[in-house]
Amino acid sequence: MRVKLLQGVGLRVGTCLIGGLVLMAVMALSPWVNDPTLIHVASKLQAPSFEHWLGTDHLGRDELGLVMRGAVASLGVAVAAVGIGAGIGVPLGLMAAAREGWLRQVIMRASDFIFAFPALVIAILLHDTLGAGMLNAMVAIGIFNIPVFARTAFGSAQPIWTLDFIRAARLSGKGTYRIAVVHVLPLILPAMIVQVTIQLGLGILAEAGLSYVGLGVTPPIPSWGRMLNEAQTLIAIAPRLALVPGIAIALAVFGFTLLGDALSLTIDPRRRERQP
Amino acid sequence: MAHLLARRIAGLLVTMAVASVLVFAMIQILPGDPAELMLGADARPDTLMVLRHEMGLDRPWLIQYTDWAGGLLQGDFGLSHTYHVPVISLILERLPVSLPLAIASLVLAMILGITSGIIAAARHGSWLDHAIRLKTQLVLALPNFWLAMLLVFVFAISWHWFPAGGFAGWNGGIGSARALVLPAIALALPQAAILSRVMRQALLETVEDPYVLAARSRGLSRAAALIAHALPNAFLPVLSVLGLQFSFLLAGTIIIENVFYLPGLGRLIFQAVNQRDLPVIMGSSMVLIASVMIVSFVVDLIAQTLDPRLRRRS
Repeated sequence: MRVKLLQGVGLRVGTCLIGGLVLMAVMALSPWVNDPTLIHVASKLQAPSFEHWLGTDHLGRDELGLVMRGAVASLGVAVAAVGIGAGIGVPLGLMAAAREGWLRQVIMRASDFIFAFPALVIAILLHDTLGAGMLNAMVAIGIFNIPVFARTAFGSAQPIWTLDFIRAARLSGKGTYRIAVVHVLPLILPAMIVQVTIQLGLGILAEAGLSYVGLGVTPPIPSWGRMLNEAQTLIAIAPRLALVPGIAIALAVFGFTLLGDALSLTIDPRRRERQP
Repeated sequence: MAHLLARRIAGLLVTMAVASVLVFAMIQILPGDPAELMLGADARPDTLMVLRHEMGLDRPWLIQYTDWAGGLLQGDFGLSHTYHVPVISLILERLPVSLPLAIASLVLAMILGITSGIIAAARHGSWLDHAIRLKTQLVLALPNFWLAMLLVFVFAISWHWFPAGGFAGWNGGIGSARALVLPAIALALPQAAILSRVMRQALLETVEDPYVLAARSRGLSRAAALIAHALPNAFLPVLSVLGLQFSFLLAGTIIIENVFYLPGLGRLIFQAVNQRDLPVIMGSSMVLIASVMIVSFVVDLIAQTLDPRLRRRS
């Protein structure tokens, strides 16, 4: 009973946070909001006021507007990266589960290798090819997501292949890949949705990290990671500038974590029973 | 067992060989000519030719690879293009920063994560459990470089307890170690949160197992049964996570090294990429990959020693 309640709270808080994040991104792109990238050096480092709710940064840009615009970059990069990861990783994982033998070995070894390679090194190496920018961040985080999805898809698909109805499908003459798509994929979809939620949160963290070291979103596009980078030298004068983007990142990631947890409890009844 | 070990070691060597081919191939695919980068865009073509010849860049790929891989086997990683010193000495210079930092944060993460995980499982369902879970999720949502900035603001700028950044080497003894305290905490907290979750989950999964029920029916309290009987079994998943974390801490600290201006391995790679210092990129990538693989190899071995069932399955 108590757990149900908590689960409900987690789901609700998570949905609210993510809803707020999306709303912020949409509002930031609407034409009624002033462009936050305009520079007014004369009004730099102002404390919060009625005109600038969160004050201004070292170039006189409105902090609230920048944070709202930052949500666009964060969500955009995270969604694209998870799309790349799931789009390539899930089919690979499905294939590895369907086919025993060398194909499985190749897929799983390759994903081990990418996994062993530090994500940031991938980003730095790509940075030379693609140049800094949103695309670099999307591809680098996306590549890192491929083995994650391949592994989870493989892990949840493999036990399904021993079930009776799969054998029945085989007996009725369906081919391996057709069974994988028609019968196995729907069963692993819930687990994949949970993974997508978790990876979206991690994607936002990763985007912030890349932009912070200058490998992600480039100026003048506002990004939480870069705002933190710029705030670092000013932390003694205006700690507010370091707090606001950090809290935005934390709330967004926290929202996705809560949502992922609540979803996985709803989807997997076994875990629900274990949680009393 | 000996046969199994030999097979595993052979597997490890093959993976390393494949990794070296992949690292080499990846570097070749990258655009940009290191010789051109050294001399600038308006260098004369003949000077460029000479330099390329000197650096050995005009040789066929296969020769370049066998030369490099052969050197690796003998501990010769080649010469850095920018510093004109052996790559291996550059790496060895950075290890006294990266290695203690990785070990210190791992130990800190273990202490915090494992104890809070055990407490949460032993007091399962209580307010303490919920508080620990909420704290874990919150910490996991924080970017570690932001955590680092906040630590610097509070403990270095406001209170002057620790230096805000930089590392002057180990000559200062305890004083030098102070420079690593804040980075170690910033790195350890998220890892501790992960460990705490894994530890709690692994313990809770044993609660219904017959041997834990038997211990309880003999009159042991829930906490006593978990700690005395379930803990050794629940340690396996924690161990495999620990292995992953150590590799991550050794390699993935580039951002934290940037926050604190620490001359570690991460910064070495970062700078090498910017300067197109190919031997350094390849050498340090290989060191990182090798450490990841060796750690996971050792973790697997320990797991197999602890759990006979794993031995039989493989």
